[in-house]
Amino acid sequence: MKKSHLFLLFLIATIPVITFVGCDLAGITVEARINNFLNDINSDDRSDTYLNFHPTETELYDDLKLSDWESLFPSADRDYYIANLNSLDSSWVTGQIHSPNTLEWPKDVVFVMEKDGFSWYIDDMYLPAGPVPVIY
Amino acid sequence: MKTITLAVGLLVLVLLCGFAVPNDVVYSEGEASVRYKGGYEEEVFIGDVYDTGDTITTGYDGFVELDQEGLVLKINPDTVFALQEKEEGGEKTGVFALALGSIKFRYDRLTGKEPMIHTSSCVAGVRGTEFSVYAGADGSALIVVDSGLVEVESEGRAVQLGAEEGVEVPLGEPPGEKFRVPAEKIDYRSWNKDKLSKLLDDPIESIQRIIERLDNYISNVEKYKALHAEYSEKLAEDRENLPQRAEKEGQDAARKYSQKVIDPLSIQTFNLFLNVRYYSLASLSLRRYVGGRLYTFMKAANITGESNRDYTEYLKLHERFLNSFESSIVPYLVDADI
Repeated sequence: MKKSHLFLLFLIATIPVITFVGCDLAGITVEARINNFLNDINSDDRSDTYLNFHPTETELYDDLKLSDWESLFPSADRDYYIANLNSLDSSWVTGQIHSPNTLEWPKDVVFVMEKDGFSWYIDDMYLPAGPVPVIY
Repeated sequence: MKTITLAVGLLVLVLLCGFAVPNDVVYSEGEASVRYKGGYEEEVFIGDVYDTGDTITTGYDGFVELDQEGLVLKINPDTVFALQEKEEGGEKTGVFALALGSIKFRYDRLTGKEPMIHTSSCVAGVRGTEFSVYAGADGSALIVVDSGLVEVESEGRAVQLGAEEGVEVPLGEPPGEKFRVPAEKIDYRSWNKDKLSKLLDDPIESIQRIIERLDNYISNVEKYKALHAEYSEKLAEDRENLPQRAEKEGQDAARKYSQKVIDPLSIQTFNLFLNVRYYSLASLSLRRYVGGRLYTFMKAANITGESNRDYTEYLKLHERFLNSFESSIVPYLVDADI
């Protein structure tokens, strides 16, 4: 086999590894985590939504595994997105969750974020923003 | 109007409620481990902070002291203790769940929002400043007050204990007669030994009591599941009617209604599911530390496999217990619980 072919083969084999490790090292930013959370809420299958929360810092973590999220985010209002996101302080990230249903939404929201390794996770969520978090 | 009053009431309660306070380990010795809510276990270390969902287990020589802003918990040897939470009248309430063993509680100050104390046989409301709770091998409990006042409730009957008073609560029964605490205090090991021999003296009656307690938990699971469904339905109806409300009363009025009624109702509905989980976890504890123990003792006592009418009868009842648990409780447990 020619040297150039071997190099090409090596390159093809390493691309997925580099991509995977690269992503892992870059981690998930605060903004990306919140968008991931809303993407999960917007999907038909919401069973992975809990994975956006911190596994040890979020006290309701195990309870969230069984939640359908319907009471907080009705499926009928889907296409949720966040606007006016202010993530300067990761311990108090503020924004507004919007939905096509403009009678119930937008609602002010606060996320308390926690970093684990290279990635950020949601620790608490105040929705609507108030003195007591609905998820903690 | 009724809905608005209800929702405003709920909002006030939600705003007033607190949430779990972290528990710092200030002292630990001997064998002691913690099982985090994520399902993994590790040794207890001084400086650790535990939260709702974590379970602390001490071995024969284990002892752990937790500090929770004005409350000191002394977890004695051979104890299984979990930090839990429950929704109570629109409010999240902390629960100290003692599955087995004994704990001494000492409050520096009382705020009126003290967590409830839950054993397999009773619930204790804290009004006192220093008291101990013991949970026996047969699921019974013993509460002893050093100072202050503690209210103990089981099977619809409540008893108030003052300083140097105690009460025993057998599994599935109301609290017994109050008694004066002997000067030499209670020796948990000998009390528990007595409970264990009672458990084994009549295993048929013991398993029947355990089944009754499980049935009680299952009925609570069903109750909160139904309540959750009822609130979800009401919430869906309110949301569906929002456009009509906007047409009739204007967009601003509809938005106000959404903030004052729908938002608190959605949080309340979300919280109600916590109670389904709470009673499911209480059932798991009953199965693991009371029903499971009895099964192990019975199996060991009948290891020869000789035909024994009592043992056969016991096995039938044990199977009934497991079937109820599987069908009514397991759907509300996650891998990390088990």
